[in-house]
Amino acid sequence: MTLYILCFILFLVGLYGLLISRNIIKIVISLTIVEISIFLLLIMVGYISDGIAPVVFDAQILENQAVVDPLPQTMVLTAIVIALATNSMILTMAIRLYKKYGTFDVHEISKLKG
Amino acid sequence: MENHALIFFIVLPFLAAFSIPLVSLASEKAKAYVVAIVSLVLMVLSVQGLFGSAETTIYAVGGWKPVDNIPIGIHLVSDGLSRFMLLIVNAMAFFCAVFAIDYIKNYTGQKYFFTLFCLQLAGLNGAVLAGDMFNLFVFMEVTAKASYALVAFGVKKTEIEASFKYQVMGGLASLFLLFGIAMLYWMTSTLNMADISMVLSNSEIDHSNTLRFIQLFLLAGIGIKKQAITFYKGLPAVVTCWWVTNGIRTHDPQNHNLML
Repeated sequence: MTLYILCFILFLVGLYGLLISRNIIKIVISLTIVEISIFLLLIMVGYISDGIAPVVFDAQILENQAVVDPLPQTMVLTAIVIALATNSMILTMAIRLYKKYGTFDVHEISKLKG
Repeated sequence: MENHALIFFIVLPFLAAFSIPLVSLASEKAKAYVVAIVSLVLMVLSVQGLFGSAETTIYAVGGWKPVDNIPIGIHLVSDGLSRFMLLIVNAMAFFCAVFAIDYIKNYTGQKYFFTLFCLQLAGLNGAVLAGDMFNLFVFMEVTAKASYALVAFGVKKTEIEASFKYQVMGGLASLFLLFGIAMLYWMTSTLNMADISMVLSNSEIDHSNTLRFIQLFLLAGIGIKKQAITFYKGLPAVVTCWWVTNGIRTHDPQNHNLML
């Protein structure tokens, strides 16, 4: 249970950083922390203590050995690829923003009202 | 009942998206017509589906059959709501594509625009048809990535700023959604939507508190992502290309002078 609570605290740390930081790069880092906490949660959902990797070796081994759930691991793999796309795209935008505005401060990057 | 037409809604736009750079090598004019033709075909298919038989149809991708009554593999499901949504999405895509043939001539990087347009169409169709939660998430991400790029398409100061804000909000929203899906999987051990409802209705344990927690996360995720009413303030008006499948959009005149 402690692990799940720690994972949720990591989620909240990322969320706090996202809300509070002014630097664009720090915002991206906070977003990544939130991502990581959710990947951790997904892996923990599928984990069984003393379980082996979900690769089929032999019917006999499977009979007396618990196997961890492979589906959350697949989901995490897909989500990592999506997160890679998110991060690279958002950093590209950060570079372009720095070139246009000359600053990383979100309070100065405010031509829009939103 | 099986319906093989469903897969075309996802395959055709993806095929068009990745063949547009090749097509534009052969002929510069053809690429706009490729998008228009693809979305016309899809619109005709969706009209046909709307006036066809009323029963729910399923397409199992890869032909995976259920094992011990537990569905495995990816399913595309078309019921009354998703048929209606498909018609809305594809009809709007067709009109946008026809409008874009002339409109986009004033801009550079046309093939990128049409590629992103097709990716967005594929993502929206997939999100409407998806039969399991994780597929819904993946297709929403495909749509979101394409729309982030489309918002910043003009690479002006304001457009890049709008895209950045949209990406931060959208990234957070998709993570909320993923969190909700992870909790739902934890509770029910399945991702298939029909199976989830079966498990929840047959379960003897009272799940209502956990469900409320999950619902909150899913609502926040979808709400921020689709810019629904209470989540709208603070987002830039990124309404240019974001035709929404589900979600309520309010019009805020203060934010209107940004993108259009």
